[in-house]
Amino acid sequence: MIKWFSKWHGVVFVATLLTLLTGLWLVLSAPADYQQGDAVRILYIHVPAAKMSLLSYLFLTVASGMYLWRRQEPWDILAEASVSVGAAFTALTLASGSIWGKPMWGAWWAWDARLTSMLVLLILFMGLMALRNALEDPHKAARATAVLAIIGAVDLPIIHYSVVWWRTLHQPPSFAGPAKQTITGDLLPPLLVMSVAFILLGAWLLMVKSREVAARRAWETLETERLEQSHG
Amino acid sequence: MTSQNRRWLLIGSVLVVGGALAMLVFTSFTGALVYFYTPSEIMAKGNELNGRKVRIGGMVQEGSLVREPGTLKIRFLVADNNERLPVQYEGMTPDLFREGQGVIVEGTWRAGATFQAATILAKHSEDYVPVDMTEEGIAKSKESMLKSLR
Repeated sequence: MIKWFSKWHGVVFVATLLTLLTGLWLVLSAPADYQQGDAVRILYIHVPAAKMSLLSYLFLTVASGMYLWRRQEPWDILAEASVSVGAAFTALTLASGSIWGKPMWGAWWAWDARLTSMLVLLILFMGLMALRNALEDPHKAARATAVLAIIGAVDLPIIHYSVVWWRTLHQPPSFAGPAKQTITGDLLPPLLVMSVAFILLGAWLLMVKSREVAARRAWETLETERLEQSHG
Repeated sequence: MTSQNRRWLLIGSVLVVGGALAMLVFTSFTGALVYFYTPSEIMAKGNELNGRKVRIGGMVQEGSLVREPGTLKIRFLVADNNERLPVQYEGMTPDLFREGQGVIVEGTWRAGATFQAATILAKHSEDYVPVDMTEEGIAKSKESMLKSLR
């Protein structure tokens, strides 16, 4: 898997860059929103980042489950990498949302269901990083983080349905089945291209981070072996 | 990292994550995640809310917004399908605060007196329409806003 990542990450990087540049050009050339004016452009970053936060956690849950089932290290490497990638996307979601919220809502932050459950997702990602560092035995650390990640997956449906289940300050989804689609005309293409760009960006980050994790683990194994040799 | 530091990190991370998750799941079931009440719900509760901090969400009634010249004082009605609630506020308003748009006002409820909002938050609907919008687009946006206030 890591070999495959090493071979292809360059290609994915170029694809990410090209799609992102096309997306940004569309974002800047799209018409302003009739209510929000130019502030709507922030949402072309915010919405794809939010989707990728949830997708990263979903991926983490699957990788954690596969690790607990099969006990194969590559699944744990993917899990460790997806925590970092997910944390970055979640932080970007919260930051871009705040920057949009201040002028539009009149507040950087509100403790409504969507924002609160998204903050819990960031706490989960940070907590998973801390937990892995807190356990000295790497196998124990892998198992513990996998279990916590799977428990934490309860936050995913809460985030997704928060704007439907409870009254929130955050707006409800603009896409809900084929019958509901509330983004009109020229405001749609930049969102679609940016979504594709963010999926590619997520894949690229995951590949690069996985290689880093694998290299660090290989190094640590070598170091342990050398220590054992010099003592033996 | 020393083993003692590791132990504190372990306890800390499990407590923080466990606490955040437990709080979220608990508030999900108790209804504390409901961010605001509608004017109808507030009127139905009436005296029960006296002296309590409340958030009321509705539409800014068309034609009800009055700005006092030379000050930042404004008055308007917050409306849902059945009730209209007079609100006073002094200060800057968010960009999206307009007549016919969604709003959430925050303040202390005093039965019988005009509601004094300490904070005004504008609510955006899920509709995104280009500037060269159609009448139809605007009508749809208002409809979704009313739906989300139900």
